[in-house]
Amino acid sequence: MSEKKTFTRRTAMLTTLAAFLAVGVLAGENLLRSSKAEGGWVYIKESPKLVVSPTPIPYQRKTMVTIAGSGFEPKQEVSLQIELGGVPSDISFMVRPRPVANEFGAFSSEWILDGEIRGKLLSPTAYTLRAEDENGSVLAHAPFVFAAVKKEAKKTK
Amino acid sequence: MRASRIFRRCRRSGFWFGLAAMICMTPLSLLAASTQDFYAGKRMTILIGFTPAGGHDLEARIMARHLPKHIPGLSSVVVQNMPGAGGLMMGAYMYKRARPDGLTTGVFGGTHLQSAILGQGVEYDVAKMDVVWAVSGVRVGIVREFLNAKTALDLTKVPADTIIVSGRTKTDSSCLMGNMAMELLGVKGHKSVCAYAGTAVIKAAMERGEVSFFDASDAHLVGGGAYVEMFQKGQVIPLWQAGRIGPGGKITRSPTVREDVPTFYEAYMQVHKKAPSGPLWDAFRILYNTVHGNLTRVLIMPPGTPADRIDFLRTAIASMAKDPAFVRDWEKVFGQQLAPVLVSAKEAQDLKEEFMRPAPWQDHLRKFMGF
Repeated sequence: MSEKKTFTRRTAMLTTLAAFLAVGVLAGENLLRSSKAEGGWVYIKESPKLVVSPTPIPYQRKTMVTIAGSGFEPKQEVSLQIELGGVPSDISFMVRPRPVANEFGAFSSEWILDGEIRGKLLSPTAYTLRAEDENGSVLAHAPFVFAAVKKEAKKTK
Repeated sequence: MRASRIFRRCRRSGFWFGLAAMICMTPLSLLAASTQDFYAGKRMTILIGFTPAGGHDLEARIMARHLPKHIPGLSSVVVQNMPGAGGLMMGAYMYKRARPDGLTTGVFGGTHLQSAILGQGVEYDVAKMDVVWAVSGVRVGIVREFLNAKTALDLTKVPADTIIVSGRTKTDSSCLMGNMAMELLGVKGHKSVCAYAGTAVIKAAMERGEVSFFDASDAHLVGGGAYVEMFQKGQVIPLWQAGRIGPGGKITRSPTVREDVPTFYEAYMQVHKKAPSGPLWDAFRILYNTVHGNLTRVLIMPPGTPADRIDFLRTAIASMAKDPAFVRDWEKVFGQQLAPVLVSAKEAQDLKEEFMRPAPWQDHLRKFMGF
């Protein structure tokens, strides 16, 4: 039981660290490409990107997935879409915090998968996560891949 | 000669009648065509106030799969879950932020309506929102088997602190109806946990034994319902059902619930040896049988949606409800026939308006809640 707790805590810490790194790398990439002009930093816009971690995602309830994005318009409200139960679904209100880009055009949100797996709306297969603007134009996409969790592995955890 | 004149006159009047009809019909057909054109290449969104895999969510997903076939040119239907405050957050979003352009709709339930009547923490006005689809349902009071209660009478004899009513908020269907039922049955000292995010989470709490009572819908116990497995394993016991109101206002057992499950009216009679009456019973009966019974899941439009688009959607959705593929999908998920539970949009609209009209039972309800 305590091993399981330690594992969960360790997984959560690693996922959060990965998320910070992902956002840092993505945002940093923009900053590195920035140039100094007339005494101020000029923000050079990158094309929007999405990063999902961990990958593959363990197909089990209570799994926390980090979705990080960069290259969006500052303060842009991003709509995150994926197929749930074979139907296009907007998950923007299920991730925390809501995916709204910061002043550098980046965001990082977490999605805890529960009912989606319990209700079999998601299967252990590959999906595509899309980031769209308010008009439904696809800005970026990323693979959203599940890996089945073996029962033995579950027991050792 | 005279006959030919009459014939000519008739023919002429027929011509004028036809012309007048054409003139009258043209704007209507043009309007319908322009409304249809409006949807061409567009995407609709169905908002859900709860987490995925509950009744509202599953119904929306079935609709999302089939609706594009009935709205020519509609590119797709997106389902958007917006859980929070027992569905009230979605209600507020629908009322305040959703564009009233006919491309956004939301699934409301009895909870949204009763919360609107109670008026606490509600930031939407149901009276200003139009219904385009509705289905009825039957509430069922279920308990965990470890309470050792097989009837409502048994329930009055178990230690009250082991009866833990569950729900999403204090004013949601399960907590409100559950607590009113306990009061009517004379159960004193039971507990309530009314803070879960959705049906799936409540079910998990029921599985863990964290809570022991849930006021479910019949759809939870059949087909792909959340409690089917627990029901089949005997882990949850249905103690009563709302039943259906028949001719003359008589409440009878619903065929969608196991036939040996008594109506709440019968359960009350078993406990108190007399028929229920009084202001609390009046409020309970109207909510349990009429609000929840007739407007279990309602597809509603944001205020200000153009009337022609509402009519267009009502027609398209009514056509979808006759589509055998849709009916098959719906009946597979909900484990019951669709036709008997369908409520026409017009009837649902009238019922909704009737419930929202101020009446003494609403005061009793607010008094019960301490509002």
